[in-house]
Amino acid sequence: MRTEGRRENALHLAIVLMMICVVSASALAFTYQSTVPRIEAHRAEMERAAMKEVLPDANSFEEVTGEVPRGFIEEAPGLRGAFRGLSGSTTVGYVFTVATTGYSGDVVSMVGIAQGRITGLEVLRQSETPGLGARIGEAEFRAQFAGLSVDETIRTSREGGNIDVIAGATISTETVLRGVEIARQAHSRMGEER
Amino acid sequence: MDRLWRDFAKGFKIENPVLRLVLGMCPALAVTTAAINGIGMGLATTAVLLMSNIIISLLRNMIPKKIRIPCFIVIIASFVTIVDYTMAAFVPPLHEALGIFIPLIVVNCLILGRAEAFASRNPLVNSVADGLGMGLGFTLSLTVLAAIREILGAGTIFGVLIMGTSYQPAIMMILPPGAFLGLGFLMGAMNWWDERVRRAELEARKEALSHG
Repeated sequence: MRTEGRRENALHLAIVLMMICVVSASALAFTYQSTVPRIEAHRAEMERAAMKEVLPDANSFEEVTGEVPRGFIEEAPGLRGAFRGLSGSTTVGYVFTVATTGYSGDVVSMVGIAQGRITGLEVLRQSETPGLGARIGEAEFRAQFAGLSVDETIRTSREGGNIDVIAGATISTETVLRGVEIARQAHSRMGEER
Repeated sequence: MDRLWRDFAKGFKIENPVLRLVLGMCPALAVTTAAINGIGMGLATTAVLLMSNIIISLLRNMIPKKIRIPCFIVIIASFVTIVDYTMAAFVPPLHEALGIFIPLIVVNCLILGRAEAFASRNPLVNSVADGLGMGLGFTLSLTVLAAIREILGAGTIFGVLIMGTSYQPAIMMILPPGAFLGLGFLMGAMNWWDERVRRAELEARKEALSHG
């Protein structure tokens, strides 16, 4: 590194730093342009796969953008999205994306509901404790929800319900149940829209 | 050639970033819950380190001393963002597992440390050797630590069950305390080994003296 005073006046410093920033910014713009389509496509694919998982009868999905879910999304901040599952052109059920705050961060899950029953539950994103709370993502835990009626709130077995609490992870278990409850209420509102 | 080899090899042992220089502790402790995360984090860091070493070495005569740190940071941050987006596009599951720690490579002292201590003072080829050696040394340490934690804490290695189904995993090993325990024992093992080698050399020298 040179140290002659001439090279170190303020203008020179500014120009060098600016050049580096300009080159960096162009490199970033290029990277962004070339990777974002792939990232978006992947995200959409993941979401579709999860929807198909929680509502296997449907073969296409469309987002519900009617007045009722929008109003509901505003009053129940946990509801991230509502989708109508279609088989051909008949509605076979609904999928709700919900986010609830768990033991360490948001748990984002997807709940499928058809004919008054839960058809499936997927945990899309969670950062719960590995080996304890993270077990909400395991098939064994999630399978307990399938087939339960959405006429009333789904509770843990401690409260007389059907869901076994994961040992050492009461908070994580209840977080999922809160999400299911939001989906359940949203679904009952959907009835009004139909 | 000899010098080049030394610039490369020091990252594995005498200047191993994790076990000797104790740099980059944040990723070393946080993401080493599964061996695959260790490799992924290590290689992502190596990629950033290599690229930033190359650019900084090439620009070393153009960057004025007074503003070298902001220049280094801009270069490093750009490469981290490039790696972040590239991983999100091409290896999404790994990108998801490493989460916030990819963007945080920016503040890994290892990268800025090598820029300041090596790349800004040495020619291109040596800086490449340094970046590769340091990066792979970092990768190796992370992978070993992560493998130990995964085997003990989950009974698996690279997701494959190896401890048998009757093994009750020591969950603590994949929780934060396990990171400190694992790292401590790894450092201890390395020091013990070095001490043994040093003693053996000393003995050999004494032996040679008494016979001479």
